[in-house]
Order: sequence, then structure tokens, then C-alpha cells
Amino acid sequence: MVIGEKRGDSLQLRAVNACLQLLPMLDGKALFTVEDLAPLAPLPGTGSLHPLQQVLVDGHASQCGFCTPGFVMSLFALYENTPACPTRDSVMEAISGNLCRCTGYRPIIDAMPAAWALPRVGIGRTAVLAALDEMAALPTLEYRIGEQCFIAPRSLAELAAARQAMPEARLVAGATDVGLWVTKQLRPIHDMIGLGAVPELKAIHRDAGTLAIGAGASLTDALAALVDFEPGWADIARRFAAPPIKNAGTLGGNLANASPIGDSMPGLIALDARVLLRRGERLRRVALEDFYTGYQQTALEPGEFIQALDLPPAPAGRLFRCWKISRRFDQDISTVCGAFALTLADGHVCDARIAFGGMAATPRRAPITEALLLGQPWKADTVGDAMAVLAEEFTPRDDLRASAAYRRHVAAKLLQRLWLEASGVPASLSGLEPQA
Amino acid sequence: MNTAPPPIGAALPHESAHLHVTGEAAYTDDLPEPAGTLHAAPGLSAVAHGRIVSLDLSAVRAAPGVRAVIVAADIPGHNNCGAAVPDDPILADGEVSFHGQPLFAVAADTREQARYAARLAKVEIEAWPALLTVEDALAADSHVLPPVDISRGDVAAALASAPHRLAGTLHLGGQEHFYLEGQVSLAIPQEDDSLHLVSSTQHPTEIQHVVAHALGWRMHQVSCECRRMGGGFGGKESQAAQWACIAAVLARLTGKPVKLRLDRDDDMRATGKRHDFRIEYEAGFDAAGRIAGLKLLLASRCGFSADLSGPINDRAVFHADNAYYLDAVAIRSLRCRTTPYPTRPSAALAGRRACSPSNR
Ligand SMILES: Cc1cc2nc3c(=O)[nH]c(=O)nc-3n(C[C@H](O)[C@H](O)[C@H](O)COP(=O)(O)OP(=O)(O)OC[C@H]3O[C@@H](n4cnc5c(N)ncnc54)[C@H](O)[C@@H]3O)c2cc1C
Repeated sequence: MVIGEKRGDSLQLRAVNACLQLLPMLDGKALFTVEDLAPLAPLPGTGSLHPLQQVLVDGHASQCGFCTPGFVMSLFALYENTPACPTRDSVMEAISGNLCRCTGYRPIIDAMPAAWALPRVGIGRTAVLAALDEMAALPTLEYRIGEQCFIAPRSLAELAAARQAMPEARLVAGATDVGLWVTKQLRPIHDMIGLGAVPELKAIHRDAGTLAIGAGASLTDALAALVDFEPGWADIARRFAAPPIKNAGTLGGNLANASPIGDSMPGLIALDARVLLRRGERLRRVALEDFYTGYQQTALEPGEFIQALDLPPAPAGRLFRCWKISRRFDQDISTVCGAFALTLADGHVCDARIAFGGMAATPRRAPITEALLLGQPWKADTVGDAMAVLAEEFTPRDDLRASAAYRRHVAAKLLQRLWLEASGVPASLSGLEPQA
Repeated sequence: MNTAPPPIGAALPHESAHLHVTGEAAYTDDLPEPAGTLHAAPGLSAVAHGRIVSLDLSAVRAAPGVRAVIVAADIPGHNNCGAAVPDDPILADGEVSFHGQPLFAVAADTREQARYAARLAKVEIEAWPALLTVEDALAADSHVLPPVDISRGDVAAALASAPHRLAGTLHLGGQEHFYLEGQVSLAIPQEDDSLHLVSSTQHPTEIQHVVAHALGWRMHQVSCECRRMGGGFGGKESQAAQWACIAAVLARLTGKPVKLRLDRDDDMRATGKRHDFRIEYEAGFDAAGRIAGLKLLLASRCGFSADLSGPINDRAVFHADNAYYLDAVAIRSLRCRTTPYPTRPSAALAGRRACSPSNR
């Protein structure tokens, strides 16, 4: 489904997974489902289908049809959000969170340019914005079912007070982790504090070379800001889940969930990020690498929450890359995620921060490899020596995604990839593929 | 008179395409539920192979919303959902034969209550060794069906006199069917001891048949309907029956409509996958590449029950010569019994897989 929210003066439309939205999270938002499309824009002479629906019919893009509404909505969000016909790559990215088992993706991808060839239609944004304004004027949501309540503070101050008053309540941001506790683990979740209505938490600021990202910024917005700050984030931005998850999920949720295979942490630790933690009026800053105290454990105290994350300015000559290794290209969990931030001066490594996910119980730096690189000339021999050390630095686990041996091997190989890329050699498969 | 040319060769849209794209195409779970419909969930074995020592379901029965709990002994007719060979229990009886095998089932007012209750069972199983691979089964001489041999000509002589020889072993992996709509059945009691089933199945007649047997009824007392499926790929041919049987037994017991829509994780654990094969080949050929003789061993992992392993493995045998005429050929097909999960036909059956050795 597609969710509409007011950002500035305009309407932001984003596809999300319906199965991971808790009902009160939708308060104050516009909601579009596949049923809303046909009445939106009847095309003369075709019955009453939206152009996207019509070209999917004409292009034989459905077989069993079970996945089709999801594809329609992912395509619809892209159609509404772009002023010109999207590229094939951006169509593929937009549908990377949808699965089709019978038809194959080609006719679905082809639907976008075909729809663009038909007269363009659009939703009535003014009316939607007016309805959103009306809802925004209603009092703060307090939703109760039986013993359970969901409150949605409207400001940072309200949130800080609510959090302190209800330290036992579960914070819920995008629910892309919490939702699975409900649907899969049937875990009882009692009171909840929703973060989605706190505007300050969504703010992203860039000044004097620093970057500050509010904990409630969506992964879509946070990753875009990170790529803008450091282009080396591109691989993670593309490969982190898929748009519907990134549209709902937040950076703060990823950090707080503290998974050893969370994809944002290695890169952020390599860039020396700090989290800003708040409890009531008290604020403190903790280096992200010190935030993780054990398997899915953080330094958060009762009543405390992550308010924001900030990154120091980039030193001159910094080489940064972050890569995700997973069994599937799209929407998969990392087997290993590796991040490298090396500062080079006069052909020597004068600072090295290397961090990995999937190699230990928490996202972790590789201090031995870093020490070996420090002060050394940046050349193939140094890299070779460092790879040998890196391959031994962690004791990862065997699990269903990969063996420990594979993880150690691939961790070292990522350093080689860094070296090759820095030397101008295309080192990733996607860089070698012919671009359509 | 209609003078329009027949639509042969014309690219006509799928008859439901306009419904697919608008979300109006109704699948089993979309149909309005009759008032009072109960929801069912199975309790699955966490052990691959063993003897059920005790099954304490008191906490399951006491959980909120629970209306009925059934075990194998509550099945009024035949505890079998195997359509081809009657060796597939609906609910495990005394013995567990695969990881994820249904041990009992719960019907409750809501699906969440049923799923929650199903997790409260206290199950004690004495674990026995499990055969996990084709190789394990071959070593233990464990089969679901007797071997099949098919031959023509004198292979031994053809191999012996061929100028060139090639021998080797191939492994072809199994696969989850991955229908996007999971297994789902709605059983609605009707007048005079009869029942209507709405099931997401590729084989409604077989469902009717198996469900009637499970209830101890005659075929005319059960009807089965499937308007459309959200994918099947062979995974809803025979194995939709298990869920239809469970829903039907619970419906008969409670007198209420019962819907069983498997959770995706349970579906992946409890349903069979496509057969994986170990193929040993030995070929003799001349300098022009002409095959003089071929000896093949096709050994597949059939899981713990026969299901459609007979026809599937036969198909592998029949396709093994691919497009070639072989003067001297000997094929042996072994249908191995293992205990991880049952295996089921997949859309392409085994034809395509069996072609691979002769293309090598
Ligand atoms: C299909 C799918 C694919 C996914 N793919 C990836 C992937 O590729 N890489 C990856 O890293 N993750 C992935 N995830 C996991 C998930 O999307 C991320 O971890 C996401 O960032 C969680 O954010 P959220 O806002 O949804 O968190 P929620 O689910 O709302 O919360 C998660 C946890 O964080 C806590 N929390 C949230 N915000 C705060 C805060 N401000 N302060 C303190 N605690 C807080 C919550 O209380 C909860 O414990 C995937 C999930 C799904 C369902």
C-alpha cells in the first residue's frame, strides 16, 4: 500500500508493506490501496483502469495474480513520484521488495514505460493535503484496546516526558522489526509509544561538514543523506532491504534493534558516528562503537531513547566504502557487511577505521588490521599483509547464511576490493554488468 | 453468424487480469467467512524422527478462544492424506517421520488465538536417528517404493567396446515450491452430514476423495471448490489435502466452519519440497560423439512417504534419454526414503532434471 504524508507543503507518497503497519501508526496519514487506483483515473474506452493497471493487463504481466496488487502499488508510488518516465534501473529498485513466482519480472518492468506512453493521470493532491491538515489539528492520539495503549507524542518534549513516565513501554518507530515480533513470534507487546508523529526526530541537518540525522528519519531519507555525505554508502543504500521497508523503517530503529547484522552500523562506526541519547531533559553522546554492549544489548538506560545520530566532518583524503554480502541481491539480510574508512596522505595510511557486521555478536571494529595498516604505504603488499591479518581477526559463527570460514574469507576479500576500486579497477559484479 | 476470425495466435489478456490488477480477484482467504467461522493452526514436530512419548495438550486446550483440539485418534475415518499411496498420516500417530510434521491441530475463535495456543503444547519425543540425504538413505537401503529398472540392448557390452568412456555423479538440488498464496482451506458443514470445502488446490477431486475418507464418509458428502490459486507449482496437488482434512475434521467435530490458513513459516516447514536427485552415469561413445551405451542410476530423495514419488521418478526415467535414441541403455531408479520432510511434485515434474545427464 502507499502512504501519504505532508512534508513541507507537498504530499509525500511512499509504498510500505501493509503487513508490517500497526493500525495506530496510520493515524493522521493518507492511505492508498490497490482498490483506490481505478476510480482515480478512468481512461476513456478501457473500462476504468489506471494506466499502470491497463498496461499490466495488456502486457500479460500477471499469471496467478496473487502478487499483482503489491506490484501495482510499488509501481504506482514511483509513477506518482517522478516527473519523467523512470529508468529501468529505478523501476527494478522500486519493485525489489515484491516477489513474483510465475510471470517473471520482464513484463512488470516494461509496464512503466508503457504506462508513460498513455495520458498521464494523478491523484488530487490538494484535497489529500487539506484532509491531512484537518487530521493534524486533532488531538494527540491515544489508542487503547483492553489493557494495551498506543500513544503517539507530537513533539520531542512530549516524547521525552512520555518515555520517562512509561519506561516499560515499547518504542515503535517503523515497526519493521517490531512488526515481526507480532506477526511471527506472537510476542506479547504491551504499551507502545509511537515515534512517527514527532517532527524533530525526522530532521536531517548538514552544516560545517557534519551530518546529523534524527532517529525517526526513514531509512530512505537517512540513506539518501548518507550517500550525499559520503558516496561510498551507495551499495548499502541500494541493498538495504527494499523501498517499502526503507520507507517505513527508521535509522534509529536499526541502531536500537542492535542486530549484529544491521546494515547501517558498520559504515557509521567506520565514520566515527555518535548517537545522541535522551532521557527526560538529559542528553548524552555515546560513540556508536561503544553503544553495543553485547548481543542485541545497548547502552540505553530505562527511560532513554535515541534522539539523533551525528557524523563528524570528513578529513581530506578519506577513502570510504561499505559493502553488503548476501545470498540474494535484493532484500536479503547481510551475511557480512564491511566498512572501510581510510585516510590517506602522501601515499600512506594515516587513519584507519574498519568495521564489520556479521562477524561477531555485535557490529565491531577490526583494531588489529587497523593497527597494521596505520602508517604503512598504501600499496598492494600492505593490503596483502592486512588481508591475511583480517582473515584471522574475527571468530564468526557458522549459520544458515554462511560458514565461519566463508565469512573470514570474504571479510579479507572486501579489503582487496577496496584496494582494487581505489586503484580504478572495477571490482564489483554490478560495475561489470552492461547497463541497459 | 460470428464472422470474426478465431483468436488463434492473438495475444489475449489473461481472463482474470483486470481483476488481478484491481485487487478484485478473490483467493480463498478473501472470501467472506460464514458467521462463526473458527480458525485452525497445526502444532508441528520439532524433531525429525522419533517416537511420541507424551503429548500434553492441556495448556493448548485452556488457551483463550480455543474451541477444539484434535490428535490422530480424533480423526473419524482414515488418518491418511496420501492420495496415491496411503502412507501419509494427517496427524502423526505414535511416530514422527519428519521435522515439521503436524502432531495435533487447534481450532479457536481467531487465527492468532489458534496459532498462539498451538505453541503451548508440551511434547516429548524420543529422537531416533534421521536419514537426511539420498546418500544416507542409500547406505541404509531405505526406499519408499521398490526400485524400477528399464533397459534395452546389452549395455555392458556396449560400454566395454566403446572407444571413449565417461562416468560421473551429478547432484540436482531440491526446491521449495514457493506459491505466494500459502496453503489454505475453509471447511463449511452443510445439511445432512455433508461438507463444502473451499481449498487452494490444484486437485479438487483428490481433495474431495481424501477428505471423505478422513471423515469416514462417501464422496458425495464432500464437495470441493477452488476458484483460483495464488500459485501452486505442484505444491498444492496432493499436499493441499492435509490442511483440507484437518479443517474438515475440526468442522465436523465442532459443527462450525473452520478455516486453516498456514502461517508462511509453518508452511515452509510442514510441506514437501521438490525432489533432489543423485545421478550416477556411465556412458560409452565414439569419436563423433555418438552414444553407444548409457548406464544411469537416478536416486531421489522422496522424504518419508511415497506421495507422487512413483510418477515423478518414472518421469525422470522416461525423459532420461532426452531427444536421443539409445541402442543400449540401462536405467535404475531408486526412490529413497528420508526423514527430513516429504517431497512433492514440482511444476516441471522431473522431466527437465532427468534430461541433464544425457546432455552432459
Ligand atoms: C523484509 C525486511 C527486510 C529487512 N532488511 C534489512 C536489511 O537489509 N538490513 C538491515 O539492517 N535491516 C533490515 N531489516 C530490519 C529493519 O528493517 C531495520 O532494522 C529497521 O531499521 C528497523 O527500524 P524500525 O523503525 O522499523 O524499527 P522498529 O521495528 O520500530 O523498532 C526496532 C527496535 O528499535 C527500538 N527503537 C526504535 N526507535 C528507537 C529510538 N529512537 N530510540 C530507542 N529505541 C528505538 C524499538 O523499541 C525496537 O526495539 C529488514 C526487515 C524486514 C522486515
